[in-house]
Amino acid sequence: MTGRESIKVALVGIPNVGKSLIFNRLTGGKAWVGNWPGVTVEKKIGKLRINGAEAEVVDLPGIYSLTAYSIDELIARNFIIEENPDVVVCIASAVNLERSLYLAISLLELGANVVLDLNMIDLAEKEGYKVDSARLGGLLGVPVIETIATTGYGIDKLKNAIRKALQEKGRNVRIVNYGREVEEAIEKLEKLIEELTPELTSKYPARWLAIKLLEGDSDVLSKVVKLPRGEAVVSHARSLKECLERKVGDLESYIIKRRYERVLEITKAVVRKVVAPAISLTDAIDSVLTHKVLGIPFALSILYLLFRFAFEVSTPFVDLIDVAINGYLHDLVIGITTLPEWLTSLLADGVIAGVGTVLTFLPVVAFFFLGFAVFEDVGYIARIAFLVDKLFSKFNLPGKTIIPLIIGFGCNVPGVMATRTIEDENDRKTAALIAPLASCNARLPVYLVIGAAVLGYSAGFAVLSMYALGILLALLMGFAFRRFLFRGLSSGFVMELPPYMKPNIGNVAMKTWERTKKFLFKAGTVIFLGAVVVWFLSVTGPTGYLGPDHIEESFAGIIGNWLSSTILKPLGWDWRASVALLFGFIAKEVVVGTFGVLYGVGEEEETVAHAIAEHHSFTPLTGYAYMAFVLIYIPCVATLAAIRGELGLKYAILALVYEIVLAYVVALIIVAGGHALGIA
Amino acid sequence: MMPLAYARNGALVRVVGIKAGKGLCRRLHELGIIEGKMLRVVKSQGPGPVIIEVVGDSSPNACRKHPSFFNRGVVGGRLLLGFGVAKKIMVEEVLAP
Repeated sequence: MTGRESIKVALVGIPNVGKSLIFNRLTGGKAWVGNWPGVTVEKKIGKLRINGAEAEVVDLPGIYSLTAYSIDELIARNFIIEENPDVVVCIASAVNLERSLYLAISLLELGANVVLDLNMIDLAEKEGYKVDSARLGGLLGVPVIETIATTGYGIDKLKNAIRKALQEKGRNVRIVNYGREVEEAIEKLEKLIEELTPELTSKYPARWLAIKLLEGDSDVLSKVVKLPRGEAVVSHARSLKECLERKVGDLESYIIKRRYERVLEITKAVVRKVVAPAISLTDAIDSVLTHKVLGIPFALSILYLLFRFAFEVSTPFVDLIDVAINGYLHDLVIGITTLPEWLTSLLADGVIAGVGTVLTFLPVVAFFFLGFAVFEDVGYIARIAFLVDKLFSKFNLPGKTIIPLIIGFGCNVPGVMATRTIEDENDRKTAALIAPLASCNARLPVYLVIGAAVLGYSAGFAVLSMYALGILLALLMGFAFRRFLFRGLSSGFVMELPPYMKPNIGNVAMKTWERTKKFLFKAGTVIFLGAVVVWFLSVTGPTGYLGPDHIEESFAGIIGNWLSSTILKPLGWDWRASVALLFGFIAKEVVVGTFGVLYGVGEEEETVAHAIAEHHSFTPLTGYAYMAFVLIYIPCVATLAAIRGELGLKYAILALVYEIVLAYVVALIIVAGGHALGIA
Repeated sequence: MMPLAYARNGALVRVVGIKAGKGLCRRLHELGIIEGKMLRVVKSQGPGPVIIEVVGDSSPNACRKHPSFFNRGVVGGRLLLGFGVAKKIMVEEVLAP
């Protein structure tokens, strides 16, 4: 062990190997979550007790290799080099052995002190084979521990292995033989590096540097060139590379191929066939769920099920929160007579009402994400990406874009953040910009109220059409962004497709919480501030403080009146509708509450619908246009903040502007089109 | 020779070439999709996205000896390749479905 106070353990693995579960098993689930410096890739750190000392466990991003091509890989690689963790636990999947071992080999070449965790051995047995872990350990020269993360099997052994690895560092940088000619070149370069740039060899194995220079790794090249005598090393590497490429073709591909050949040798030696199942359950399920014709209808009904589940199950919780905050807490504050009137109003009508409205959505959002996490853990969500890919590719978008959109049905904030998993930068930016067009849970009450008020029997159809409209517009805008803003063809996508599995409670709970938390924290900060601003605009006017019952004379009323008599005039909405839109900027669920306040009928959805119908505020046509406008017009403040976090201020403003314009155009088309067809 | 996007459901194909930029080529190589390797087409929307398994041992001899082994191709795990990517991978059919 080194003389440092803290012991560092890093977790690495390819996607879908159960890394998060292993992390939880090792650390007891307690984690500090932040971002890697300068990028929006999540960093998770937990604590593990070893021999009475505390070790810091760092969860590195899910990666396939250690090139300098993607942010995730650079983060993992730099962490291993710069922070020099005492142990690197490489989590391998027994049912995805080849790609797991490729990563393990890359780690060994980098000189990491590797412990290999062979996870999911139960699934391998189900598939009809066994992995000889002792032999595997012998071939790689590292300890190999079998685990089943879902049950906790082998975790204690893994902890022991980490403890042992702290004392004896097994390093095996010569794991792959690249063939005589390339090996000779590597050797020459190694000597040159040791001689001319000894600064580097204290951190990096010379052999790794030599291989990376031959591969043409941009990050290593720039590091070497910076050194006083680095130029000589680089030019020598270049000439060696040219010379070799005349014999073996592209050196980078050649090196990858050699690594895979080594992986295959190892796999062949350690995989023992037990019995081959005739047809796997996954194949049987997939023959229906990914069927060319039946697949999409199935996906739609599963989505519908997800919505029903979220709304039905959450109803009692919603009512409870509503009574507690909007009823009890609100009345309690109103009852404090010692405070000045404006302060009572700020607390009751601004803070409590604003946050209360958002919190009543917490159960719906949480249950939606719970249902989503179950389908995700089972392995179904990835299949949806397959189903829609052909359609999406017509719009120059990868099928993977559907995942942020579906998450966006729950809440747009985690939807926007989910775009991180899209590798291609242009694809990712496009996805983040169109993600707010997915109709989130907060918009539904608006549709329901307006629909009930003016659309009668066709309300149900109108509500469904909003979801379809959202997706259609997302596709069209995605196409437009790829055409004019992020030019070039979509590079497509590759995704691991795990076999169908029983959902794991821990995993589902963790994913549900991670997404719900994003909704909750945004509600607690951004929406809170927004609610206060809205309150201020609605209780003050040119004459000063007015109190809560004079909205028409307040700044908000004045702006609403101005909007409805100028820009929004062609759409036929009155000043109340315009004020509600203004307030809906904070969070779209506020729209219903605003109508309630403006009509003086409270926030109950039925009474609000009744009041809207009585005042003849909308015709069926303008009501429908209003629904569409609410769907599109701006992502709420929290979503804008999320876009800013992912893409920067410039793109947040772009999202704001394009959505307002798009909403206006769509609403105008609905109204004008309806008039042309003779609909009132 | 044809793009993988056009391969038939259940066919066994051999990768002949990858017509893509350096970045994507490398990514696919690292996933085990390498010239000469065999892929089992688990699901295809011909033409469209495909679900494939990279067959562990692609030597013709091994395929003949252990048909069940390469049919399942389990050690590789399954990959979903979007239409855009599947169009760039050129394959030839080795075994009809």
